[in-house]
Amino acid sequence: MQAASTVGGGPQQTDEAPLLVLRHVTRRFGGVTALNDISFEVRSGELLGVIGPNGAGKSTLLSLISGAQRVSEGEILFAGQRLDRLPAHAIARLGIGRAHQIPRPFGRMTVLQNVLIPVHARRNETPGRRSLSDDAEEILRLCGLLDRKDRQAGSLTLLDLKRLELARALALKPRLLLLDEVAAGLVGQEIEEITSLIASIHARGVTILLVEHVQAVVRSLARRVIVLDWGRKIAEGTPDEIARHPEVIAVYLGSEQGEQPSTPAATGAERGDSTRSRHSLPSARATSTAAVRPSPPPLLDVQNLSVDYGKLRALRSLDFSVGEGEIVAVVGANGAGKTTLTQAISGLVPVSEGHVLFAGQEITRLPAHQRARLGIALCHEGRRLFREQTVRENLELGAVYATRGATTTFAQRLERVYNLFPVLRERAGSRAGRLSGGQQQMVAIGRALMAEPRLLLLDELSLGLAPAVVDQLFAALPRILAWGISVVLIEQHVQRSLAVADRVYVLERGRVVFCGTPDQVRAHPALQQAYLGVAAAPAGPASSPAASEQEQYPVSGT
Amino acid sequence: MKTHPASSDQLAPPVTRRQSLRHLAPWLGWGVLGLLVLLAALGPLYLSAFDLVLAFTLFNYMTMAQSWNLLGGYGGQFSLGHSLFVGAGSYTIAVLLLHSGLPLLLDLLLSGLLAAALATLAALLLMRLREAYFSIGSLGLAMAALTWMLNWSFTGATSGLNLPPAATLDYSTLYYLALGLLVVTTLTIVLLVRSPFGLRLMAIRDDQEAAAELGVNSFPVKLVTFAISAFFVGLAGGLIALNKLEIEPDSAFSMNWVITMIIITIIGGIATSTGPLLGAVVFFTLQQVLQNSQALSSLLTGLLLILIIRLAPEGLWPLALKLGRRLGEGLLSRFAHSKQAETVLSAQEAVGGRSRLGER
Repeated sequence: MQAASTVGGGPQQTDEAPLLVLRHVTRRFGGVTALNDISFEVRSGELLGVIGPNGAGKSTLLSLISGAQRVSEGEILFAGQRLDRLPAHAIARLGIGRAHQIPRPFGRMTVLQNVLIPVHARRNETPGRRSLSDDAEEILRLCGLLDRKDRQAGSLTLLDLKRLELARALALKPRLLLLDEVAAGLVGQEIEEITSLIASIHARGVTILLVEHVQAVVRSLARRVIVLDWGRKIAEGTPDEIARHPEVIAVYLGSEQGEQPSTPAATGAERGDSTRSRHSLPSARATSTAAVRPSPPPLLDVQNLSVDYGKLRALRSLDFSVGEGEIVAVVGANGAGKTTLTQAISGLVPVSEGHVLFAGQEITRLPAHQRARLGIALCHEGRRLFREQTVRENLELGAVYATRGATTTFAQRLERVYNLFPVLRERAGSRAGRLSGGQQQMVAIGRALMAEPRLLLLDELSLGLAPAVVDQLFAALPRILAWGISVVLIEQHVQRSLAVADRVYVLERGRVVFCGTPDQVRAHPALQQAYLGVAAAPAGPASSPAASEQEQYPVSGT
Repeated sequence: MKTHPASSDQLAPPVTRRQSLRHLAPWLGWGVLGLLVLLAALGPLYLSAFDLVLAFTLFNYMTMAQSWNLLGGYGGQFSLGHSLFVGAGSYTIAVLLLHSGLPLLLDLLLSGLLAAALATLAALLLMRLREAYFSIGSLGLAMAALTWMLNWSFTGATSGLNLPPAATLDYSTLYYLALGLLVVTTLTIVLLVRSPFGLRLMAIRDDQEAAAELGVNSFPVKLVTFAISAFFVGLAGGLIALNKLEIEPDSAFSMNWVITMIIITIIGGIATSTGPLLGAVVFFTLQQVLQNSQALSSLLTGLLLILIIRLAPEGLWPLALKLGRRLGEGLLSRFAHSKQAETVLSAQEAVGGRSRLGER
């Protein structure tokens, strides 16, 4: 209540009565405690933010409230009624809607049909005899999907899928809306669109529980925030209070560029190692680039490359090269062709025109597995681990088809990966699907490295990961370079990738619009152009790329 | 919509015509369907007794595939146990005709109801299983039922049962029963999948957890779907017994029934309501043309299945719709200027095929 008043009058009234109450809620998966003794209240009409690093238990929290998972201990009350023993469909019919982090559309149904499902589920709540499909269409209009209502849901873009998640949750006429990372994977303009949509929903009096990584979204919407870390609630307060909270700062590592020392949060081995590597970052990079930079024949040479998906041309006459030991960043908005570029290099999509040369050899028509054996490793966006296999098995599988002429033994490479990400050694026997997102990304990188590649393609290195984890991943890059591996980095945190890259390519709608050193790119308007459409400053605190980068972390906002 | 390089006054009429075609299309589809039903209803007037039996078998294939498709296609519950319901229907009607004095139509109805009751029981066991586990579980139940029937002396164990001579029906009666069942089954399923119930069913198929969080209680939906699917298959099983007059477990509970249903559905188009009808025609024609060389028939059916899964995984009916639509639009845009009445008509027919029965 204090929290709400310090920020000052908002557009909506906040009732004093709690709509949702959690008392000592605990959830265990086998021996792992995902949530430990969580208690908090959400008042009617409030918008409560929930933040925390990956693996903190945020999604689990929402699953417990929505009934998708059972509470191990404790109780959840909604408007005075026990929720924790009700099945998910009954909870939904009470008016609790959830939008998932990864959209879960009914892919073979139309957009309208998707929204009709919850409309039907809540049909008894509408006394008037309005047509149900009118209701559904009104919600689609609100979410900006009306013109796509007859499309198959599976064919929508990510932004539209996120809108559909919101639309379906709204169609339940919710009193409480659970939003899970609605801005994850979106960029610039899209984040603002979804933010204003949430604000307008909240303004209609819907109580909202907002789990979010994109800090700008939390700041602009929530007036009270709770922070989770490793299943515990470690702080609660206004966004500003949270940003000053020492424990929160510790969790989020307080670093814009990943150059500050680690905190006691990590285990002994991990701490020592990551601290060391962080300190050694600038020098390692300097040596690796200075030594190999001038070598004239590039390791990878892409000439005049075009790729088509049916009628859509995803890449247009693109030239691209990576030198030995070089780290090259590729930046650009969603749909610019970054992922397609990595897939064309690794042989996962056919090339329509142009050539791909690797170490002087023409590989344009070579199938993917042969390119892998030449030393091209791809870390997919979304990781694509063998989820049911253990960490160790995943790493072994990565080594099955090692690059021809590999100089190291399997044991050496395994040791190298374990030293790079010590947590993988600790969790070697765990199933990969059980790890947190950050650890899974480490497995994915480790698996790619196990083949001893000469070129590592990292597609969306840090997508959806917490800043602390992102720091660890970036800290690993110079060590990977030091092994003589060249890196192509695709990364949504533009400033971060500029900070580590030797050269940067800016893509826009399948074309290279600019290429140069990070400093040249920073000075050039092409970057803003690529992300924001125009270089105009968006509303709110995130007015420049640098500022929006800082906004990713609560500690830097103050 | 493609804009033709024509001046605006030339462009206007084809657009409006195309829109009016869109409105006409469903009605045209229903019209074609009505015509087909009428043609079939007059069947005994122009078909030989032999043809009537063939048509009887074809209709039963259609009914069974249609019913399987409700659960397997729209519901995503890939049942391998539907042979159980064919056998249950066959044996129920045989036992009732032998041991009770109830009228034949009531016996038939009861054979469907018993199959539905069995399905409800089976569902209580199986519905907790997902995907492949559900399929294996349903297969296990069907095999258990076959073993049971092979040993149950009340139903004649391995030698089976002979229906009483009084139950012999003439071919046109059997034909009408099978046609009637087909029409009722198809109508029921088409209406069902277009209703909110059908939406819920498809939502569960696509993502059960997400559906639950949107207020869909999956258990009753799946239970009712399973029961309805089994009900119509049981009725078909009853009709098959009435035609064969002697039944024994190995053929009544044969795995071939469910395999046939699945092949027909996949050939015609899974999760479409016209697909199983079209698939049955293709499958049955292949079977009849090559009936003298069983091996070749199986080989070609298998080959066809592989081709369809490779080239048109959605099945023949969606493929035909796609081609028809493209042809229609192509014709429309080519002849837009000349405005020849007859070309518009033929295009109209091509587009009209579009949304006959369940566009899904």
